[in-house]
Amino acid sequence: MVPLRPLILVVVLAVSGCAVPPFMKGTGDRGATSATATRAPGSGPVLSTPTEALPPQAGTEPAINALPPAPLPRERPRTAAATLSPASKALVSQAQAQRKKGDLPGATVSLERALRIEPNNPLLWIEMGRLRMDQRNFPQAENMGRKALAMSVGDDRTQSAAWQLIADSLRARGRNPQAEEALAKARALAQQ
Amino acid sequence: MARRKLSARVRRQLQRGVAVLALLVLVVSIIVIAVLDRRVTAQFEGRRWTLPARVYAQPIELYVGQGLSAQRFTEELERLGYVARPNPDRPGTYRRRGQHVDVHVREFRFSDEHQAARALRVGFDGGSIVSLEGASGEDVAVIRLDPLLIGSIFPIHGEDRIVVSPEQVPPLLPEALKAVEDRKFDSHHGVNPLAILRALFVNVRAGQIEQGGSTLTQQLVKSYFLDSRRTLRRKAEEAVMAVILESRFEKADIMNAYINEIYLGQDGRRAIHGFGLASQFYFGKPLDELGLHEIALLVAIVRGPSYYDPRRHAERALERRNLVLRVLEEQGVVSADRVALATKRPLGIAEPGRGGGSFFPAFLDLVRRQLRHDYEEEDLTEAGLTVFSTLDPLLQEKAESALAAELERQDTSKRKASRGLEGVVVVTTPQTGEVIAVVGGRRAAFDGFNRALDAKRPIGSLAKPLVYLAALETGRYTPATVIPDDPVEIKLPNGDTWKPANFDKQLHGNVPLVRALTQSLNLATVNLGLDVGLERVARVFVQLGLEQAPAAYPSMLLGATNLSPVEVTQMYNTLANGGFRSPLRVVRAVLDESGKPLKAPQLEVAQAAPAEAVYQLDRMLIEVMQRGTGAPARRTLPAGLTVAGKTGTSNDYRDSWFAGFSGGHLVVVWMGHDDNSETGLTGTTGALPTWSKLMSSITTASFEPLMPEALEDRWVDYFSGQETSPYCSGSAVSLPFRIGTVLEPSETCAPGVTGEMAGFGDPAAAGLEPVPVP
Repeated sequence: MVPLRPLILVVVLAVSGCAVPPFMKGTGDRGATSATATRAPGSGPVLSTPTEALPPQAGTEPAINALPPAPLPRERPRTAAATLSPASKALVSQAQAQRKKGDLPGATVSLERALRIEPNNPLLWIEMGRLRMDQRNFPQAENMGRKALAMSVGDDRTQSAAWQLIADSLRARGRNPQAEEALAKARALAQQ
Repeated sequence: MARRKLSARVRRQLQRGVAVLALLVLVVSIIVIAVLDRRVTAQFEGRRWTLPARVYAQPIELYVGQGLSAQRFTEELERLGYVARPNPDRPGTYRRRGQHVDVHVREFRFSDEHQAARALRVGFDGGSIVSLEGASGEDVAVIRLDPLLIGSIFPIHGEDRIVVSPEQVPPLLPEALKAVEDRKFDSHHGVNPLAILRALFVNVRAGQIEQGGSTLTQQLVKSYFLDSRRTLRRKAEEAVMAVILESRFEKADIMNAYINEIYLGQDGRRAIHGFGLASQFYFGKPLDELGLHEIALLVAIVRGPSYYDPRRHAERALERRNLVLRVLEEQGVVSADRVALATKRPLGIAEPGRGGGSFFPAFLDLVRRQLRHDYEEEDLTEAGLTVFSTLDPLLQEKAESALAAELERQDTSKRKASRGLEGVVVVTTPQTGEVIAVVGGRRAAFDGFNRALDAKRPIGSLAKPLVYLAALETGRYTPATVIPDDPVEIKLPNGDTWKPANFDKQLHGNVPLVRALTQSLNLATVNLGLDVGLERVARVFVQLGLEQAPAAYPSMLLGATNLSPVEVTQMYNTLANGGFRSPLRVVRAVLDESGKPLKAPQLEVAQAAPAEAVYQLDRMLIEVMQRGTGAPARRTLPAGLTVAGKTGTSNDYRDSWFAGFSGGHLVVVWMGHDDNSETGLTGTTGALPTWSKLMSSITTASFEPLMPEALEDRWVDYFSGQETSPYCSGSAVSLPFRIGTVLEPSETCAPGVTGEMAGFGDPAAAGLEPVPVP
């Protein structure tokens, strides 16, 4: 019996192509501040004098960058869809098979194994949320969805799946208006 | 006549008396035998042993891409008691050839499946696994090694054992036991009168009881039911019970019971019972993998586990082991050349921490306390549960050695106060909230006061990030908001005046949040906390995972609250996890004796604080490590590893704290004296070196959380909080703000300037050599 969901995932991922780890944003420019090279005083051009608030030593020994920095990004780049590593993929398939057999504790173990290999992969948190739905632990299903949202900023496809999970967990608790809102977000993101 | 009559009556009475007495003796004997019979049978047929819960470490996962070198992999195999062999054709063996390791993985019952024994070929490329194949060359996606047994939850009387079935016993072991302890075992009926007579003769000559004529059955009975007092009554009782046992049960059952019952060593207050546990305890591997020399040693130990303790009396143990080997040869159990080879082998005792022992008492204590929420003490100590814990043995080892090295360095310090310190290290993986290492003191293997849980100490400046989080949560503050680092005086209800000062006794005027936190300024923090509101700050403690809100006194803002290292870990885990709270977990799964999953704490997450505020705080905690009180760690840490953290020092230098995290690990360190005396250390000079030593010795990822969508990065001046440009300001720092936040532009270096960039990423270059701040 071939589990369906991982197949879908595989297809989706094959289409979306090679992915960049989705948790690198906002660090490029921070890297620029830390990756400075110091020079001896007066050994190179200094375009600025540091602010007067700087301690005197800093004023006499300004540090400058070896490389001109890239202009600051104002537009938030979209991130490619998250993918699963082969190991996680195998474990997700295994968890699917276990869920189908009704072996929810077994599925939990398999998914947690995958999560330890790739703790920052939002797809795994969504899978975990789906499992919590099976376990009728709806609040945790929603929380897993929110965690997936936080780690998939800029990845519309994954965000859509996370909102879908959140919508399902809200509906299961009879919170229909909020469920509709979540579903609308899921649909809007899926179309982008 | 009368006399004769009388004597006849006396005789009759006497006869009757004797008859009654004989009857009485008979009845009593029958009763005694029946009682003993019931005891023996009940013990033997019912649950034979109370089985302490067995606790396993987390298993090592093998998969392509796993960051593991061939060298480290073989080290891990050795830790699990795998033996290098030219041909690894049976479970528990391996062979390394350069970048390839062939390993025969043992079978193991995990909580979700029974994993069969299996031959694997693992290919490495420097620091990671590049191929993973089964015996016939098929790809294997992911597989677990059998986990390390790290101990058991044994009851107060301290009896610990691993029960083995007859199939798990190497055939040589019963043969050796018979040859050495009881040659007539197969034919006698429980007692061996000849042996008893011989022993009696020897004892009478020696004038005291020295040599036992006990059969294996008698030894078993004695261990089962009786204490070790050697009185005649005990001996008789023992003999009767042995005969009963033999009449009711098969020899094979008695032998198996003996193998599981007998006392074979002591580990602190834990008594090692049975050959199954003894094999783990002494050799760090399962019984069925033992070689001749190892089996001989265990048989040697039977006679006096303390006298022949191979760890404390290696010479004596070796001598007796070789005696056992000679007996095996004489009795024709083993061939002469095998004995000759075995005699040349060393004892082969595993180091502590390599399995079976309770060498991680602080961690096991945490396991026991977590399980006590769901289980009765008796379930844990008697019901034969299997517990899968989160301990990572490699990380535990590194945490222990990092702390030991730092304590040793302090022991030789010029500062008298910092000698003889105690310390705690707690390590988690923040995303799952799993506690993977706990060191509870300088003698990590010592089972005593568990400081990680029970040492509640003032947390000092570890409280500050909570104050700043409370401020950011209100939306009234940004990382660049300027707050006054001005004197504070607060009248307390008892009439006293609370008048905190900065660590450097200076006032710094108006400072932005980022600088106040990075340099751990006390007055700015108190002013901020008072403005935000004490109740609000106290609530943040609970949001992050503390069970009870601290008393909302102003001194709470500077960390007067007493917390244990584990409580601090819970709160900081939430910060390391992007504001998602996951209850700390030390147990992944529990199985009952038959392998059925039982209740265990689940992986849970809950959003504890707004993602934006936590992200802003975390970015400031990165600045702490870049240019603040945590900057000295950068000398030790690998270049390019982004980490975040905070120092803490309590009043009068009594406690030195550091809590910090990478993308993969949160490490909390506490150092101090048990008697709460001064240490002369700050968080920067005490706990931080331990922290950075550990952080730099493990494989971990940078802390690079995703920026929430509502935020954007902007450059602000570290000293003024004004928006500026990195191209003209030497003190520009990039920080996250809500999109659309109005920032005051710098007059001397406006945000629009571009060109070559100035910077002060290196604190020393910017004259910002960090000053330790409480």
